[in-house]
Amino acid sequence: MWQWFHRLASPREFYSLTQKWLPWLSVLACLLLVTGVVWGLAFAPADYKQGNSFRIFYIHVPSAVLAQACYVSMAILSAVALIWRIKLAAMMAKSAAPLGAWLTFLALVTGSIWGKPTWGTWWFWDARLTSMLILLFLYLGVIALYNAIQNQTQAEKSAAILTFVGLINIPIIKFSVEWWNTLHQKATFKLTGEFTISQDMLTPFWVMLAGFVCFFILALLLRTRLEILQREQKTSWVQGVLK
Amino acid sequence: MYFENLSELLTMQGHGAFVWSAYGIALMVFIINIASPIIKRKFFIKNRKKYQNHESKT
Repeated sequence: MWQWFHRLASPREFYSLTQKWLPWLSVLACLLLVTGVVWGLAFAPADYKQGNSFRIFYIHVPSAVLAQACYVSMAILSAVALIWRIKLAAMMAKSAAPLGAWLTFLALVTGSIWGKPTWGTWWFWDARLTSMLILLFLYLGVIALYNAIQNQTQAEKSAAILTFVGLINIPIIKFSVEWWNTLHQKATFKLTGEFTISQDMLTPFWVMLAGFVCFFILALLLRTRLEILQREQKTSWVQGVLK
Repeated sequence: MYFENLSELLTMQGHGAFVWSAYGIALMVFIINIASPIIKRKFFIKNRKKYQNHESKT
């Protein structure tokens, strides 16, 4: 098992192995997302208070969960790259940044659209919304650092430092609805397994979350594979791939 | 199905514009994130091949 991970850490091995994963992952992501969307839009019942606007929940919550998970993954990958000097981890951390930014953007926009019929406003400077906006700025900051610094190693180090500093924002996002009086509702899901949502609304959510996870992995693999090609373009194996 | 007909599904008792626009934006985000690395990869391979051909000629 350890040997397998060790092999996978080589960009060349990763590139050839993920080639086989891509079609399966694409089919799985499409199936889950289409099922989840149809179920969430047409078959799940409307909320007794929020009506049909509740259906935005099926894209808002998975995108918000993954936006935060992506940031934590980025921090772990940056730490692995800095401590063990694994090139692939650095490439994956760089590839995760734009994806995380897009997911945060999606969570903010869908939240805003959901807010209008529910709260009567598109935006409110409450703790949850503001901390999510800060997450978007952190992602944009990391992307800007990668683009602004010419020296690759220096860019990775600077981006990693900003990522580590920004980690403090993750528990703030999570607990903001408990620490402060916010317009945003309290968590629907808790790690303890308590759910404040009925089963016929919950099942399509799990399908959508699984679809989002597959999409995330697929998009991350595509970006990382491109990063590998660009960085290793002078090696003989990439020249072989390009023929 | 929760709705009686297609028209109800589209209007969603007045919430249709909010719900459908949110799903439309999500679709756009999905397409951008999948298409962008694929297109960039194609351009990269094309440019690299051009460069290799140029190098082999000179």
